[in-house]
Parts: sequence; structure tokens; C-alpha cells
Amino acid sequence: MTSTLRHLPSRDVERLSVYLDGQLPEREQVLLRARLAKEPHLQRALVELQSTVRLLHSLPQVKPPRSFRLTAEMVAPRQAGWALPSLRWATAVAAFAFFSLVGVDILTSQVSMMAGAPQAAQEMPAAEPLLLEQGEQRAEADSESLMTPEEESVQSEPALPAGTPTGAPTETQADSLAAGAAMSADEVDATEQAAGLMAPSFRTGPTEDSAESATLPLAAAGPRLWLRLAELGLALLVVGLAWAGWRLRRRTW
Amino acid sequence: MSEQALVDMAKEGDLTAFNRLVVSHQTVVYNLALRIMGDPAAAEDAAQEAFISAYRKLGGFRGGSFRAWLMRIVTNACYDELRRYRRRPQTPLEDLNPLDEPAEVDSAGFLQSDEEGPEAAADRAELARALRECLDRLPLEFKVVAVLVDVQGFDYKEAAEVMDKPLGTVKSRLARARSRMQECLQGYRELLPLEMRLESERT
Repeated sequence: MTSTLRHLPSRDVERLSVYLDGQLPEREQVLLRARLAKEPHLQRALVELQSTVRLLHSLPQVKPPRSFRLTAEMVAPRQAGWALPSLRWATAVAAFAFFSLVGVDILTSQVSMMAGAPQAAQEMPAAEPLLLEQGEQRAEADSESLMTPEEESVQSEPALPAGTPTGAPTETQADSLAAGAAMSADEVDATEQAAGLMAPSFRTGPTEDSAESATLPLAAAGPRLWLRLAELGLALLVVGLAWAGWRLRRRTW
Repeated sequence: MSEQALVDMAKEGDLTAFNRLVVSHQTVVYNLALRIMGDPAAAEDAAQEAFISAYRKLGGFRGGSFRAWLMRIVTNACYDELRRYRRRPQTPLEDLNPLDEPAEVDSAGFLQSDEEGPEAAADRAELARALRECLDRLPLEFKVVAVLVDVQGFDYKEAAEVMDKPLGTVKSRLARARSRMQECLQGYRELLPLEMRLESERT
């Protein structure tokens, strides 16, 4: 067993409700009356609605238990004492500290960025000539090592007098071969030395220096992390104090 | 003295003029608060808060219906009070609500006949309780419009002003509130007037 109203489209319930209050436009009233004459369930719904409204209308007015007249004390602004001004001051100080900290943070990060840039720029030109020099040496050494002992002797020895036999290596040639071998060993040393002189940023393998340089950002991140945490803490403090002040002000007024 | 004159004087800080406005509106204010809150003590608090708030905000009243403006403040005070109860629900409102309200029942003239016997009086009191319970079960936005229009007798325009909602919203909410009330009251059909009992029961 359910009410008729429940099964009616909400549009029809609204029309009936407005009709009951005499607020339905004339044209819609005519249409609704025509429907009411033909549709018994709509008529039943109207009766249900009418009875409900009548019951609600008949609810009595309750006499107030007392008078709500205001007194001068009631409307005087309540004294918040020292709490409100103190909260305002604390909020202002916390906000000032927060913005100062943010300013310091921005400045230090800019300074460290500016200090980092020339250092990298200085490292680059220092490494380049070294590499060029090393490259030249290497090219020279390569071209020398590619030469056959004969060519080498031709190049290194003064032209032999005509008729000198060339088939077997001469004593001079043997010396030059030995010198060539010694040069290859020197070349390896020179390369190693050059590698040792190279800037750390140009080295590829992990070395002690690179391990040291990797720990630097971590060491620098410590104070920065604390700075950020302090900023966050201060921001929360400002919000909390402002909220407390607002609540107190609302309670006072 | 006209209401507008009293409002103007109260705006200037005349508390006596404002108290004359309080006296003329306090019954409606308390009843609106009582129907929304469903609890006499909470309604009393909300009504007092509303009058204090109205006095302080009077400078912002830009004319129009003072009653609608005041009822809007009352409604907002009730919302605040209800929110406070929900945040700290140590004592549920329905537990505070007494089962019978002597003041209301004594003054209830509805459905009362001169030769009413004790049984009829008890039925009447039960019906009043049923109505209160059904009102309390309505969602807040439906309850407010039902109380404003059907209990306090506000017209649609004034109710829209109090609720700060368009007229269309008032109409649709009121229709749904009435429909829900009717449905809820079927649970107390033995107390209802004959025309309200459903067809199936009558036959």
C-alpha cells in the first residue's frame, strides 16, 4: 500500500502543489482541471496533497518560552582580552618570518647558480687546449708509428750516399728501430699523463675525485632541505594563527 | 510607528526600537527555529543568536521585507547551530526533543472540537507528534521550505527571499517536501483524518 503521489511524475506533483496554492498560471490551470476530470488517480493525489497541507497549516504556533529582547550587554562587542591582538601580532610575525625565509631561499639559490656557471665556463677552456695538444701529439705519434722502418730511416736519416746497400738493416737502422720502440713507450706515458691532467668532468671512469664531487650536492642539500622544512612549518603556522584569529573574531562578534 | 521607522531608528543604534521589532517577530522567529531544529532548547539559542546577529547586521539591510530578511538570519543561525550539533554530537537533537510539548499541545487548536473527550485530545497530541517527527525526517532544504510556506504561511516570493533561491526551486522543493510528508504520515494512518487514509484501507 503506497500513496498515489509516489507514483506520479514529479512534474505532475509540482503542478498539483502549485495549483493548491493558487499559483498556477491560468492556462495551465485549465489544462490541469481537464485532466483532473478525466484521471481519477490525479484527483486522488490532489486530495492527499491537500490533506497534508491542511495538517501542516494546522500545526499551532508555540508560545516562546521567554522574551528575546536584547540588552546592552548582549549587543556590546565581547572583549577578547589580550588573545585577539596577540594572535594578530603572532600571525604578522610568523608571516614576516616566512616571507624573509622565502627571500633568503630565492637569493641563495640564485647566488649558487651564478657561482656554478663561471666555474663550469672556466673548466671548459682549460680542458680544450689540453685535449688539442694531446690530439696533436697522438696524431704525430700515430703517423710515426705507421711508418715502416725503411720509411722511418729514410725520413730520419740523412740521404745515404749513392751505392750504399739497402737490403739488410744497417746499424743506423737498427738504432732507429730501437728509438721507434722507445718512442711508443713514451707515447703511452704521455697519454696517461694527459689523462691525469684532464679536468674531472672530462673523465669517463669512476675515480676518487668524482666520488667526492658526488657527495657535494648531498652535503649542500642538507641545509636547503632544512630551509624548505622551515618554510613549510612557518607557512602552516601562519595559516593556523590566521584561522585561530578568524575564529576568535567570529566568536567575539 | 511603522516597521520601517523602527528599523531606521534601530539602525541608528536605538535598542528600544529594535526591541519593539523583536517583540513583534519573536513568535514567528522562535517557531521557525523550533520547526527547523526540532528541539525547544536549541530553538531558543538559535532565536536569541538570530536577534543579536540581526541587530549587528542591521546596517546591511537595504530595505524590502524586514520579515524575510530576519527569517533569513534565523535560518542561517539554525544551519550554524545544526552544524555545531553535528560536529559535536554528544547529545543528539532527537534525544533532547521531548516526546510531548505541553505548550504546543495546550495551545493546539487544530482539529479540536468543543466537546472533545480525553481520547480525542490524546489523538490530537499524537497527531501533532507525528507531524513533528515527519518534519524532522525531511532533508533540511525541504524542511525549511515546508515550514516557511505550510506552517508559517509565507508566500512563494517571500520564501524564495528567505532561502535565497529562485522561485522555481521553491516550487519544486515544496512539492517534494509535501509528497514526502504525505508518505511519512501514512505510517501514522490511524491518527489521520479519514480523507487522508488511503483508498485501499478505506475499502
